[in-house]
Amino acid sequence: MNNDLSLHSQFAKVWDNLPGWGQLAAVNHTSISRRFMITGAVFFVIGGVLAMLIRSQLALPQQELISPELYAQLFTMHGTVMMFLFAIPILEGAAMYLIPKMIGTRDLVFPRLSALGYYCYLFGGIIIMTSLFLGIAPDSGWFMYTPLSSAKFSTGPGSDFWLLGITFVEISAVSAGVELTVSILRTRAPGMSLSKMPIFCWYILAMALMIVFGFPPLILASILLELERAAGMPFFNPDAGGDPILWQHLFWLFGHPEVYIIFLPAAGIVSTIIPVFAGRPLVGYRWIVLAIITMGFVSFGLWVHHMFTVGIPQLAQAFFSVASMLVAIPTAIQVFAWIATLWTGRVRFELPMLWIFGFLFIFVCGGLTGVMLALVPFDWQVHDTHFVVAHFHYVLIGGMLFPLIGGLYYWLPHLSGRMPTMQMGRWAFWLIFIGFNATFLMMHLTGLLGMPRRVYTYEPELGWDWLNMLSSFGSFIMASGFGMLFLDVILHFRYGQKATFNPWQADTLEWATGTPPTSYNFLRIPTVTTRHPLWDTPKVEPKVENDGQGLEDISHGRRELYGTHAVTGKLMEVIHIPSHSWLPLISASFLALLCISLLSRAYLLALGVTALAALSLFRWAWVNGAHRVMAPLSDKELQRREPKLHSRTLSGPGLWGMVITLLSDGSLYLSLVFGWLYLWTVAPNSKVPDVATVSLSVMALSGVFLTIAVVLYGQIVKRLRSGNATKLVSQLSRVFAFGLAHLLLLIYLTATTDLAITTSAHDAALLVMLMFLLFHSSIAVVMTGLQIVRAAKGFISQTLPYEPAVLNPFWVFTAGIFWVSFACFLILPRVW
Amino acid sequence: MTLISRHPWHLVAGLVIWAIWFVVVYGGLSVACQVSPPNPEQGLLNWISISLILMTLGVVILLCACAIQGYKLIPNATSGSRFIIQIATAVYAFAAFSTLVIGFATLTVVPCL
Repeated sequence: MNNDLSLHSQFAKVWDNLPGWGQLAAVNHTSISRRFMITGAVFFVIGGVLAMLIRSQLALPQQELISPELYAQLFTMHGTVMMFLFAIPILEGAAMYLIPKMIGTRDLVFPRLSALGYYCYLFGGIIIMTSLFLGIAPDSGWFMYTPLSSAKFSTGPGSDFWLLGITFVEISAVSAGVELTVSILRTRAPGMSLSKMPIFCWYILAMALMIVFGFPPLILASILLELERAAGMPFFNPDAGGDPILWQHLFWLFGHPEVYIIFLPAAGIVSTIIPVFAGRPLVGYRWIVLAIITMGFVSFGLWVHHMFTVGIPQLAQAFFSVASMLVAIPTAIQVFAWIATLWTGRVRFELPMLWIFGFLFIFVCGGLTGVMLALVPFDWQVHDTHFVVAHFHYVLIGGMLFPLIGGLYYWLPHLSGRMPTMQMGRWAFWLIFIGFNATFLMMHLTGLLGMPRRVYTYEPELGWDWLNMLSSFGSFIMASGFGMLFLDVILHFRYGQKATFNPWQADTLEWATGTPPTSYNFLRIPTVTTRHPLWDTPKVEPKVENDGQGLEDISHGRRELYGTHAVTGKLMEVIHIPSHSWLPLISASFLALLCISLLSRAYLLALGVTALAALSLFRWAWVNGAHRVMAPLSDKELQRREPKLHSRTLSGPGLWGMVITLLSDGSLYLSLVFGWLYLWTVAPNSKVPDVATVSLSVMALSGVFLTIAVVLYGQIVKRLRSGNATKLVSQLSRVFAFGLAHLLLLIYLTATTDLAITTSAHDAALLVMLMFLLFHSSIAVVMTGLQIVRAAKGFISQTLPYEPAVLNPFWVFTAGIFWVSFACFLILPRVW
Repeated sequence: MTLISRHPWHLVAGLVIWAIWFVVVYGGLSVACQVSPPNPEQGLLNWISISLILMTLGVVILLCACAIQGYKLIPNATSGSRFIIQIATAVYAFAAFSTLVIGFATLTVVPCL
């Protein structure tokens, strides 16, 4: 016992945050995820206040509480705040808090990335909100349709705030997506194979991968629209070969999966809570895994159902209509599995379960109206009416918010060490449940009666008056319920009963970390032999029975995790992760300054800030591997009975992180190729692009140099794999030289090609493609230069072969997009 | 011919094939209608519908073959790989079903209208 106490204090010294202002340098997942959740809750309150203003204005016909201009800003910001600044970040925060604890590890795999993501989210959110307080908020709706959001019809900076701010926030989302994916796949406790993984982790894995693939189309769309607004590049202007419908495609390629990105973690909460309170394992674990996978995929095939009224061919509408109905199958599998679990269990009606029942009722109703909307003729009738508003609030509030609050009550003892109170919790539930249905059930009717969305007022005697009044009344009941909820949560921190160990008798490992948890979660990393570790070994921490020693030695002063096989959970290596660092805050601050300088069109300042951001990110890359503040080589590491440190191997989390990031990058690139082909074939004034101005021979020569660099780099990695690290610096220098030759030719080509970027959407797309290639080639060359210096300093060697293995996929990707661009953008139009 | 193994790639392979089919069918339809739209009076006997139907049938047959092969592998699978093969088989079957029901629209709606 005394030994454990002493160990705990040694672990705390290594894992705890710095005191005072040093908290800003925290990277620990528990701290960062709490910040995500608290910031998300603040944005929820702001979004809620905006909603109340909207409902106040609509309570009576011909009211003039709010001007039409302000009303447009309010509904745009309400949607934006709720979708981008509340729903996604708070769910990511919850996932970041729970995942390491559930999979039996100490932290997420890229802690500095977690912190960078948080600061990007915070700063991006503040930037967007500033526009509202300055009275210049975006006012084109949360999906920013062109041409309404284009410079011609939105002359103020509102759209720019949205485009730049949201892109900034999306960096945070994608980084969390990458981090969660790699953490779930590579840092599960030894023995936790995929089939033994808690069901919540399956949901979060799907959500994270959907973010990785789903967000890039919107990032690209935002970049294109901002380029159109700031530089006059006419991607969405039909007069110059562009098409506003392209924006809709790119937006909804992101926007529809987004709904499932929000729903899946919430469904994960439901699938976690129901078995605990039913006192039995989830019925149909495999069926639910199947439902998660199919839902993740099918949700990417539905985007056009948001565009049924824009003139899509009937056959294509039929494809998307059927696909939209197909998604009901995996949803139904889950609903039936939940009902079967409840049916066959001994249900305890604790507070979290109240919210789960609320979820089941509201979500099923929202799902049914979803199937109605998937039918094209019905969709045509109610498109852009309050019926649609009612439907998606049933799905989002019922499908996401109710489970989230259920989860809040369920994991509250874990966060605070105290139990929630039934009395106030019940009041909050019933106020919200009744208020919600009064608000949105009425909207189905106003929608069916023809009330369009986004109108700031309406004529009396259309039959909408009493329904709107009731709706607004309901919204105030709901708001009072949320007030009660916040009060309950705040009060429980002081007056709640002390929580006992595993107070709900749950089966998952997060309850073994203590309530509240320590900064390192587990003193000894457990071995997992079952899907329900705490049910099979109640009230005791799982024993250490693996190849290593549970990582209980902390004398080295490093933060360490186990790296395990993605499928079997077999122990593979020890992953060393960074301790607290100021670099995330510094990098995010420079990126925020970049965002602000672009907003104020101060391009020289933007250039300077970009250089500073790049410098801080290179410093980040430098303090890695065997660097003295990370994991310098030592004899001790060979003597302990643990696997190798990951930086001494060829397959660590960095490689996985690189590959997952490239999947996201590839999704963005494919969106660009889609845009190019779309403008060429389907846009109103489409024609075969004239690409004669781009020199094929210079481009081909540049590509040859790039290919040589990639082949040489691949050979270096191959040699390192076989244990040969001779002449590393000269070999890397050769790669650098060929890469640089390729890059210089590409710069020359871009600078000398005469492109009419303000009068031709095709030329503008060509320039974006060239800039995309330049961006990747520059990073590959500079990173190789960095590796030359690192090899010379001994950070890359036979013992430390890791870093070239991580960069290799990036070189291959760079060559891949180069040749695909060469074929698609330059050859295809010539031979068409 | 071995179409399916215990590799975790098969957890998603069926739906990746479905997704590629979906993009090719939707994108191909849009481009084909721009480049060479058939006469609507031809009804369903036109080059676009026939191409889409053949492509759909080909993909459905491939996915069904994978699902059947996976199903046959389940009894002999080790406990470690059974989970992957079971889910992969169901994913292939779901992908085949999805391809079939979405593709069914090509038998009922004339393209390019």
